[in-house]
Amino acid sequence: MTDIYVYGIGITAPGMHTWIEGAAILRGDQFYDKTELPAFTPHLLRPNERRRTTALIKLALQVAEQAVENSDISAETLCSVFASSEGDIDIVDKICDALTQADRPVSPTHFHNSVHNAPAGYWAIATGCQRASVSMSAGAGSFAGGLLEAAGLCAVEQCPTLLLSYDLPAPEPLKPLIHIQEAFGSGLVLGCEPREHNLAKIQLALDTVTHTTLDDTALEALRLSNPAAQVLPLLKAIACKQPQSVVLPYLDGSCLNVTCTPL
Amino acid sequence: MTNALGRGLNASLYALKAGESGLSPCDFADADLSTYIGRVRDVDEEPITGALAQYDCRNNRLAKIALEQDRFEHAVENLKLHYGAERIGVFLGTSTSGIRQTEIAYKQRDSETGTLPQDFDWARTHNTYSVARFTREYFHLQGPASVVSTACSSSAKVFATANRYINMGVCDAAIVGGVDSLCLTTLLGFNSLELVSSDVCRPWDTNRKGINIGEAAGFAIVEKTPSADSSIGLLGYGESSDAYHMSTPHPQGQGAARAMQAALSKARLSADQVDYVNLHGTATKSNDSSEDHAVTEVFGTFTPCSSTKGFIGHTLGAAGISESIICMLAMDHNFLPLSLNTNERDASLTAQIVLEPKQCDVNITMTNSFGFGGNNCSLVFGKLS
Repeated sequence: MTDIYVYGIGITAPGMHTWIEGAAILRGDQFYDKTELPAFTPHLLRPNERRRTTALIKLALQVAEQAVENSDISAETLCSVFASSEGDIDIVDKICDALTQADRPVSPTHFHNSVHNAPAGYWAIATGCQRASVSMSAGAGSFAGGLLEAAGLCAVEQCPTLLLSYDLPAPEPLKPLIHIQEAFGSGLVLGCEPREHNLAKIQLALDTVTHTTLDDTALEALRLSNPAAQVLPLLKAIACKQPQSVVLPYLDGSCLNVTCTPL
Repeated sequence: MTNALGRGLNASLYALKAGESGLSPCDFADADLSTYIGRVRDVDEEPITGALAQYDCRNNRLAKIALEQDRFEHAVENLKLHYGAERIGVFLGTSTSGIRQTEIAYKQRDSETGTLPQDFDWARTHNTYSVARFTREYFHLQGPASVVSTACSSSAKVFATANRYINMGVCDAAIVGGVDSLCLTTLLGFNSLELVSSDVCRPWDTNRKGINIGEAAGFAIVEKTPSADSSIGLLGYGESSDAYHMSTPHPQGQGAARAMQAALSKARLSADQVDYVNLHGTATKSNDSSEDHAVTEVFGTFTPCSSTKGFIGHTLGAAGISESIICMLAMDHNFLPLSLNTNERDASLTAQIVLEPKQCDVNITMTNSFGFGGNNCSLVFGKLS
């Protein structure tokens, strides 16, 4: 498959609020202190829109902003992939709860925010970007699935692409059914052409071998806490500037091999 | 294909030619809404049993019913023999997945602890990926898979996704399609936005009052090289974002026009080579008006167009695949489907609306799918010569 270049990275997770901080932790230069995440505050949303949006939408936009800022490409020229295993579980909970009440007060704002592509819609409105945008899920393998989808937009449509991957823990009563313990979001700006500012070159191939784990116990726990956190071994390879093949979980009986050459 | 017109392609073909609607007064669960719906009959009586029983929910039941029609299973088995199970992708669209199962589970919460029923399987029923996981397991496939969920453009966009995967060499063929099923969330949600019509939906009509929600499942196969028995090919696709509003399209249909132009450009066709456009045509005031601007800008006022939502309703995440298959039927059987329920064409709209079914050569067609969040997709299909 074609070479894909990584132009910019964004990350938001407990104890990792920016890519600079995340890279230092993944390199082992900084101790990983799993502090609580502050409220998500994407700058692009106007205050009235910020009130109408949910935590998941804000998380997606926050990592999107960060990744694009760290690249040398403007937001409106990027195709986008919004990868999330579960979508907005908070909204599902609110709507399904409303449906059990006598007058079934389904909120119109909740309803239009309930679509899987709600973060993509707000991103397009905030940036004016009119390019192709795919919101998708591959369950627990959503990051790998999103990476393949983004590679397709880069390679076939010849369009640099913003890949966002994010999920949030579920509220009660869904919490026991959805195994997400921590909030996690990442953004990668990808494309097929080398640019002035390249962080890595990657190649993708489907595989059936065992996926890569992290040696550090706390970081491995974070990797296992959220489908979106499966990006961590790839980010570690980029942060450590060591050429490496990382294997990411994908579907039942299948994983994604990413040959990563940091630049 | 399965929808309110019945199970299998022939049920749809017959009704489309005869001008018979599948819409009926809303009798779904306790929706208690004065509207019409496009309901698939007897889904409640056909649970998924056996090895895949954990996937049982209305959405996957509809998927299974459609997979059993039109010798589709036979076609997939042949595909597996030809390419191998690990070289076949599954790319499906849905908007609300198995949310009906969660609605039911919430109704059955323990009155003291609030816990959900023990047998409720979120991951296999409601998780967005559920229907692709189900389909992949149903056919024992091992290739790539995902679910695209971009509201009402979901199952159009899967054609673009499949094309990209095949182009990159990740797979050689793919099952594409989509499923959306009736639930209270969409019925009452669209109602809260005042978009649900108390009348049958009337696309492009002066008296159009909004949408009728329908349910459907449809599947198709795309391959690297056409097999001997394939008669239709995907010639192009175009995707765009409105960047305008979450639930209202751009009034002049800018994003829609961009998707149509991109699809024509990808297909290397000019607008006048297209014989028929299947409109998104939801029958809300603003959607039809916006799409009319866009279609007229791209095609002028002579290309035959119709919305077939008067037959099956707005099947949301399954609209793209349902209407793609309708385009394929129109080409295979050389007819133009009419815009059912359009009694008094809105004089302020200028697209050429097909008001009577018509037999004629139909070689190249386009279908439009536009979703919430301003997510647009147009597809161009053509007869393989």
